[in-house]
Amino acid sequence: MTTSSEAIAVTGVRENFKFLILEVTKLLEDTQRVLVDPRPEVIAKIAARDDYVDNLKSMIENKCFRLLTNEELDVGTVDLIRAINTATNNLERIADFGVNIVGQLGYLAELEVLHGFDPDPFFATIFEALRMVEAALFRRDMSKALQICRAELEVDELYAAVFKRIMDDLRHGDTPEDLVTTLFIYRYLERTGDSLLNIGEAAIFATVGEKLKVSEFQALEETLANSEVELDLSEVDFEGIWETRSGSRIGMVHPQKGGRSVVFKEGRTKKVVEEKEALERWEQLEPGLPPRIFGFHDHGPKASLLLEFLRGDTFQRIMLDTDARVCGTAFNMVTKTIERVWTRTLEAVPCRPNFMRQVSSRLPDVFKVHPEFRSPATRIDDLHIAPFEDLLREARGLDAELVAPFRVLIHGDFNTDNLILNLPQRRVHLIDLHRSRPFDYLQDVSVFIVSNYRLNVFDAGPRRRLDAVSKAFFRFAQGFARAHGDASFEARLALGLARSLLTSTRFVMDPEFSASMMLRSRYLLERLLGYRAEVRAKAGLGEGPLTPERWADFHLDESTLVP
Amino acid sequence: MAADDDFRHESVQDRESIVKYLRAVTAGIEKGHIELGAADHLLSLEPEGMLELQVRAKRKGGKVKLAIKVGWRERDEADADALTIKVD
Repeated sequence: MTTSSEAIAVTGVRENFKFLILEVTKLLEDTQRVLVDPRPEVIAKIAARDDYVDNLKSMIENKCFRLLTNEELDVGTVDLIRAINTATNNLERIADFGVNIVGQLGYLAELEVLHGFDPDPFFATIFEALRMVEAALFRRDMSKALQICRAELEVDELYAAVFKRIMDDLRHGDTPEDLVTTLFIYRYLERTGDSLLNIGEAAIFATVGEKLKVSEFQALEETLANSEVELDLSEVDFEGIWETRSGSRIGMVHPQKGGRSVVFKEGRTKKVVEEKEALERWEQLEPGLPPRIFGFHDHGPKASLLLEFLRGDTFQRIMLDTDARVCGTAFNMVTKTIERVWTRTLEAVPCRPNFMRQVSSRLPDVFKVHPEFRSPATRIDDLHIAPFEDLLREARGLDAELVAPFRVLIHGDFNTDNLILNLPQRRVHLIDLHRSRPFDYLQDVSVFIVSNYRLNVFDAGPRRRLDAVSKAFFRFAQGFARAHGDASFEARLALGLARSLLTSTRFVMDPEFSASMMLRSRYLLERLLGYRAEVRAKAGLGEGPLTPERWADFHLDESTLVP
Repeated sequence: MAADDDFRHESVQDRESIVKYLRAVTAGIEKGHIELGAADHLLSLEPEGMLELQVRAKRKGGKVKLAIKVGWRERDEADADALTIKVD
């Protein structure tokens, strides 16, 4: 991605940077020499060199900051400049470590203890890494960048051996002071390794454009190597590593010579394995519905997946950006697919969605974000209004009554942006399937409807389409319920909506909008509890639970589905 | 509830359920005494004398608002003794 503007902008800095590496290297060479023979004239040279390093650092820093104010630079150049700056800071720190080492020599009573340890392997590793820094950064040489990172591992291993020996000697030896000073000296070499790692990571950043930890980078490299995709890291552009709410990281890998792009996902092994298994299950059910798995790599506590990058738009985008006709076509594609999945996976096994239990587990987070949702008992004359928490407690009893007569394979996180539609090819895809399982379909229905509700979109056109889709999806699900004898459909959906509306508020910071969602949730719960009280009174049921059939007359008005 | 002598209630209702709230308010007005608030912070109102009534309706961009506002002046207990007029 070297452009001519970049070449001009960076040339000046590169000259200074070269000198900086040279000076730091010389300073460390002198340090190495002084460790053998602390001659005063060499020590004086080290101090002078350190001043020069500081000057070079300020010079580079100034140039970098000045360059960054230039608005015409492309992203790649900006990333490079940031990386140069990080590397410069770390090089200067390495020079300081050299000075610190020399400073420690003054505390030694005798050189004998120090000379019992060999610093040369440390210096050899460090010098080798320093030789690669310029190319790793300015030529964006990924393999050199990785080698610099690995230098830290080598230095750490060397340090571990020295540390162990010093500890042993401290237990038995009679020169504890000199041993401790020696440990301090080697500790500075170990920290030099840490700074090298920072430099290596900065060089990777300059190349792939996103902040990537070396471990993640290696995961990507290994996943690519173990996959069906024939790509080498030197041939790909890496885009947009971003963190998801569940703590996994996702990025896009685009081959530079054209060809298939892939999605790279890394996260905790358990989650990644769950997703992999769900994807395989869906692939078996309907090939092509989920993204294909190109690679999987388990590296201990973390694992990564390489997935097909699906071309198309999310259903959410289509609702927001197109018109009623396109949106209608897309909606029909979605419902046809979902109906097929529900029908094919339906098992006549009753399923209790436990919507209120789901609320309970997220309630602490909701109250943390919205403490104002906790309301005291109030009244308007004789009309008593229960505190919100009391209402939630009372509603917990509904879980036992509102049971689905069957279960189907659900998506598990059926937000409208987890549906990818390829309109020209008339294909529907589902993504983010890691929570997929056999369950009450109303879990998906309520999440789908609330994902439309909670979009902070109030422009007439898009809002109308979102609302129309929510209502149509409700009628679609209602049709499925009727066809399969699901008597408590509307009541259960009301509870599912109450759940999703309330738990979603933990992601909604707008006070007015979050309050409207909480109030809607409260309304639905009050309706359900009111209905139950009424039916119990009429049928003389006392405190007994209602059968699904007795919930059949609960009516959920379509106006409750939309803001 | 915000300030000391302030009560605020917000909820979502349907045509059926809202009536309970309106009835509670009208019943209070009818008997000349209405209590609002939480147990430890009750606002006690005594509507009497001249009650100003304002009914406002507004329709804008598909949203409708119907506001009913009732206001009155509280009788100042000191008022009665403030002025004595003798009629001979």
